[in-house]
Amino acid sequence: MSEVMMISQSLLWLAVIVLTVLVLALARQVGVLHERIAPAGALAINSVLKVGEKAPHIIEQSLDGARVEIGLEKQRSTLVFFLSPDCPICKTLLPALKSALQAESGWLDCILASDGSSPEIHKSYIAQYGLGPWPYVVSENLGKKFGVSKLPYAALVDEAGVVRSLGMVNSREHLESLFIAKETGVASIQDFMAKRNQEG
Amino acid sequence: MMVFDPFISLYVRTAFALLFILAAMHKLRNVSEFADIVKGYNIVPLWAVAGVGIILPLFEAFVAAMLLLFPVVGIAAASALLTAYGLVIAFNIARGNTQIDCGCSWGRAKTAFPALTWALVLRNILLVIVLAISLVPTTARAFGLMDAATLGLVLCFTFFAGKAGFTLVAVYNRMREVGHV
Repeated sequence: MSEVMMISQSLLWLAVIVLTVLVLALARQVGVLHERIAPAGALAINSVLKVGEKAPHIIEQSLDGARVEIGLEKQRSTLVFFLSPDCPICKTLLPALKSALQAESGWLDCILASDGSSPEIHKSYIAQYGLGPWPYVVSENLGKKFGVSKLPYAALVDEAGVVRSLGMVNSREHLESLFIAKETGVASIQDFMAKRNQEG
Repeated sequence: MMVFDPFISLYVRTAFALLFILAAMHKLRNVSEFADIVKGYNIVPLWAVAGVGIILPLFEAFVAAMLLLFPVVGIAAASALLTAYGLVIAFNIARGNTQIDCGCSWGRAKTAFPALTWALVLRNILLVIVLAISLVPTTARAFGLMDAATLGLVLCFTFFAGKAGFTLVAVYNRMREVGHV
């Protein structure tokens, strides 16, 4: 009898383990599916600034002392990228940001914006991740004027000083969607869906 | 008085020992990454960050060994460590330093826990309560082959159930981040 119980008990545990592995596989699959259907564009959550509006005119000083001006008419577009040394997603996105900036260097300048922390922390962050080529501004005002609530966040300001796209960026695709938004004139995936629904 | 079968204490202690040893191994494999996480918590002075980054995982390994060899010492040390982690998280939430890597996702999904939340503190409290279960007095009996087999199978189940739970939380957090839930 006890042998039968032992076998039955072990088989039941095995069945429970198999079921748990299946639950794990399903949970992962849900995650994978969600990644695929999630909005491919940068999520535009902003109550301060809207696409098509004039960017706020801001004059700041970068960490190396240079004057940085946003919101004026210029020859080139400007990407204002909001990041922070203590934002883990920003770190994972930096290689993508740097390569995208190199690829788009023909028409695009970049300003890195952060706030808080001591200048030493920002300086070691710049050195660690090779952010030297771009002006790095530490200013709470900049983030407030652009209505940044979550990091990493980016806003694309065109030659005329008009905001062409903006949103939270979590991946290279989100970042590129900002450039595509400028090219196509569709501000965000939400904007695209709204327009499509109206047409439909 | 409440008395449990000694198997329950054995299972709880072994499960926590495995948890701590796996956590310690992961931290020791990525020492610089863990030092970054310690720095993020902004409690330890900068000069001590690297040292703490090595001492903590070594202490976790020590706790794992104690849980198996000297139950009472191990349970006390494990509870102290979990409570300390909980307090450090609570302190950072209280002062608003929430946008940091919690160091609790074993590096696999840094985006899974984008910020410190009270849920992490609650999790640690629950873990300490579960640990306390193994302090309940037990009846005396010898372990046999059946116990060994059951222990192996239950630990296997616990591992996969834990992973599944972790994955579900990570997926939920990602969905919430983009406004899907």
